[in-house]
Amino acid sequence: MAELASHLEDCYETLRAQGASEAEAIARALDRFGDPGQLARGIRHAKRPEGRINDRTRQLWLPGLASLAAANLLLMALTCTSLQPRLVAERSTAWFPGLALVAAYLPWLSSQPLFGALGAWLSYRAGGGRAMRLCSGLFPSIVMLACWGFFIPVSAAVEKHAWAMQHPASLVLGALVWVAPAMMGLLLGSLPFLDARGFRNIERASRCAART
Amino acid sequence: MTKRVDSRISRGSAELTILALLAKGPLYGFEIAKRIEEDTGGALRFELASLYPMLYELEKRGWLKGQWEANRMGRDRRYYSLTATGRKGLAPLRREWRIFFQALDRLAGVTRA
Repeated sequence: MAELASHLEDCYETLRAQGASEAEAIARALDRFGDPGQLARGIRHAKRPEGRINDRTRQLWLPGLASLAAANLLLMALTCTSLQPRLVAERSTAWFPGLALVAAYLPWLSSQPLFGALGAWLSYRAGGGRAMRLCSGLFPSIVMLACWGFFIPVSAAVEKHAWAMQHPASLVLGALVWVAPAMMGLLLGSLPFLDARGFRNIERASRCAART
Repeated sequence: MTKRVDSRISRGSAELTILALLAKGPLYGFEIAKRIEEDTGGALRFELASLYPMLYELEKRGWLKGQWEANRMGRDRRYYSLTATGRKGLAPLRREWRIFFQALDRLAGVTRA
């Protein structure tokens, strides 16, 4: 801190010696300060002892996996509670046999902003840049996209799944239903954490609100 | 007046800039920033927020050593000097940048532009 303060002091005095007014010298010295968030992250990173996990793990993989695990645990819980044979029989109607599935899908979909926010926030805390925060927030959908774009078609082909082979459009539809809306939800949750300056303002406002 | 270099480019070259400057002698943070700006005719300028994390990073790596000393005005300033490891690391860094510029020049005709 003393070092940073002395830097600003030197900067101010040099500008004053060059003939700048007091207000102008202060403004120009502060202008050369740069982004305080970047400074805090940079110093935290530089002063941190080398750990066993690297920055990419801390800023992308761990937040992304936490978000994925949370989203999938909820999906599992909803599937277990909503898709029991008795409930499926009760809820499915002749005009819409997939109603029971929708009953599990909609609550899961509406919870996606929370998981997006979780991933992006954990990445933000670990000092991740904007791209890392975005990827961490969208991680569950990226994995889902990989499943629908690669693993499910390959597994259908290997196992010679007759229905999937005859209706390849169902795979596209599945990908659209399980990836696109969830990705929008995750993006919505991640947004406040993408602009670090904006997020700091939210933090500051909430601290002020807590104090008053 | 020299045009400022894009911050993304200057950030990438920050390590070389700082090490090359400190190879000439110990300097403190403000002097480093001032000398970079002066010696490059204002083309490179480091904000405090990007300069100090880089100095601490290089210090952690053992390439720089920082110690508090009084400057000409009698005020305590943290002077950074290049260590033997840093001096050893600077040579390959210079070589890498030379190769980079030559490659870029072959591709984009940078020096002829």
